[in-house]
Amino acid sequence: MDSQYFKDLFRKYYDKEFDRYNIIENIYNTENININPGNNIYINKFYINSENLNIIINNQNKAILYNEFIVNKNVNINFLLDNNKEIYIYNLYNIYSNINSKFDEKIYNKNKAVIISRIYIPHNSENSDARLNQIVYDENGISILLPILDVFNKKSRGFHGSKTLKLNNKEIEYLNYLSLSKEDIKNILIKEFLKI
Amino acid sequence: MLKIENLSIYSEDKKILNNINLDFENGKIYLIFGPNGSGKTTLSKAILNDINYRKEGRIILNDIDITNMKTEEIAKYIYYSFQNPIEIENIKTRTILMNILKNYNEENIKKIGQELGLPDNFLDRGINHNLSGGEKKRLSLLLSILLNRDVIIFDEIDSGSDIEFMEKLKYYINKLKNEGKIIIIISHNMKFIKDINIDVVMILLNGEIKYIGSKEIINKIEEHGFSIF
Repeated sequence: MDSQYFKDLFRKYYDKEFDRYNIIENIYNTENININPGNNIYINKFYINSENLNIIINNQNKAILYNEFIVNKNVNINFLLDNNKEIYIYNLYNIYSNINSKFDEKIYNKNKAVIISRIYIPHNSENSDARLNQIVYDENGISILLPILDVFNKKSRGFHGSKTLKLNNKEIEYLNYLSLSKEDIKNILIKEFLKI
Repeated sequence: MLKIENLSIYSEDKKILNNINLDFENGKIYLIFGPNGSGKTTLSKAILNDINYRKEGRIILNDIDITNMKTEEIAKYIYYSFQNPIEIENIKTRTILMNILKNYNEENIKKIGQELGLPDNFLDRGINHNLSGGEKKRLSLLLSILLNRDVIIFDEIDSGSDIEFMEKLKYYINKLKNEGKIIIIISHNMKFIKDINIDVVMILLNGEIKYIGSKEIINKIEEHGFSIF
């Protein structure tokens, strides 16, 4: 993969600045993974070795992350992004046969996040069920979520759902009556949200 | 002690509440009674400074002027039990309780919750989320017990409730009274009102207090309606 590949992948969101970035490849096979990207393009491959895979990305730099998950065993993937700078992520969930798995992506975004999440079930992956749920909590940030469901086997299913975490005025009023200020509520939401 | 002095609320040119003067003493149960639209809920919201209309007068709690305090500050002393509690899916009841209770004791909370008839997993759910109307009232009562506020306002907590819950409600209202709390009940339910040991009845009509006195007035209203005022 070269920078042209990422240019095609992110299209209008791709920044020319990325042409100068180094491409770094990593392989992960543990249950809990913390990633702090630098100003680079990362190609990360994740192998499943337990029922849960927990990934926390704390981003302070402008970066591209290409994450490929080799889902050949049942797994719950908990993906948490705490984003403070611009980040461009492509999550590819590569699903094998007889898989029943759930992928939760939580995005706490304080800057700009472009996230393409693709569930890919090829022709030869039978009887699989893959579910992607995305929750975004934007704090003066811009989140662009682009989910893709590529299910090529008729005996398999893919699902995608997303929601924004935000309280409406009635909910805030109710919590004010329980003695919580707007600031308290924000802190509680973030604390709750950042749990994996 | 809670004092309301010369409270008036204006919506444009219209007075929604007109020169309200009320004293609430600790360890007593008060009933605010009146037809729909008489200003009962507006009065409660005015006490908690949750009114967008122009306001005159003062509200004093334990010698502190709370008239212009923020709602969340007043709520540290006054618990208002909503007529229709809001459902919040995204924050668990446990998280909220851990943040608002001085001493969070999960076992004790679960025990009272169970006694009141709340579902076993109510702490793991969003507050009021997926609870029936009756269960929301039970959670409101639980909060009134746990929060230990000086003043508790029950706004129609009895509406749509079953007999079992009404018994618990009566028991806990008396218990809270005996602990020295000021209990303010807003209700239309004659049977419930008659069953509670109300100390003072306040009749609110068209935004004005028409009567402050004993519970006997309820029988007269039942017989003749509000036309006696």
